Amino acid sequence: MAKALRKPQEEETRSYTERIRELIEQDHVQGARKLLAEALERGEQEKDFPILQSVLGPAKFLRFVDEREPDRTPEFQWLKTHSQDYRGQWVALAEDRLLAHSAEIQEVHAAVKAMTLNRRPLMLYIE
Amino acid sequence: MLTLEGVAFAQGRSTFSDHSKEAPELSAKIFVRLLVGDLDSAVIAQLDTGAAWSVLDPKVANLLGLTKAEGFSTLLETRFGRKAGKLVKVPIRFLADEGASFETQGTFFICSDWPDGRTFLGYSGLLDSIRFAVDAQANHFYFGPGV
Repeated sequence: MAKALRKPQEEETRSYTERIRELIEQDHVQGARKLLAEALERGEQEKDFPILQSVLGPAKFLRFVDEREPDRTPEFQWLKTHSQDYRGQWVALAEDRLLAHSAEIQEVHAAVKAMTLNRRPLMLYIE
Repeated sequence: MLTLEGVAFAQGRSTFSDHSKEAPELSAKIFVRLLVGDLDSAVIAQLDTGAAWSVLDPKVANLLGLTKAEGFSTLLETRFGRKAGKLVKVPIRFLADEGASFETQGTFFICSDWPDGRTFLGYSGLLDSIRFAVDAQANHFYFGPGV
């Protein structure tokens, strides 16, 4: 009696890292996590495993901080009134004051860093 | 702050904006305020539970030296097309109006070919590891570390 024809299984020649990358590119994050876990369980070692363990792993809780964000109504009110004039720029605001503005975020950041402020600025890009 | 069956669910609450003054999108979105890395200024990020990954504004990433940080290079399909970049762990602080702010280290996609001013908080390696709730009537975003 003839044996049933079976397509021989293709041998996987790609590295685990390549296969995990493919899964990540397909947004199949659970699959990527499972494959990495399988590789580690088998004792496989590839250069990118430590970084893959880090980025595929859960967010790591660091600490609670006793800090309260101020009411940002004045900043949003400023944006409503003035954002038209600052299109294509980064702005830093504190209450209804424009602290700095530039197309370069570094310039805004440096200007704000040089100031003594009693309120944490809000920095955003105006499209 | 917020309890679920008598057990603490979220330790912080912030008021979110449901329209960006900057993004020309018509539908309501949830924008929350964060600190990223050791940046002194608060920035705005859009909550996106439908996105596989969080994405960090490339200018903010560059400012913080994160474009040179160790990461895993990959291509991702995004709302702005297929993009090359890398996945990097980034410390962020959810800023609370009430209760406690908290810091966590989440995974962000960093890509130089990404529009300025667009930071997204996506699912894998960030939202899947924390607890959060939205009160859309009051524009309140509750958050806390996962259990």
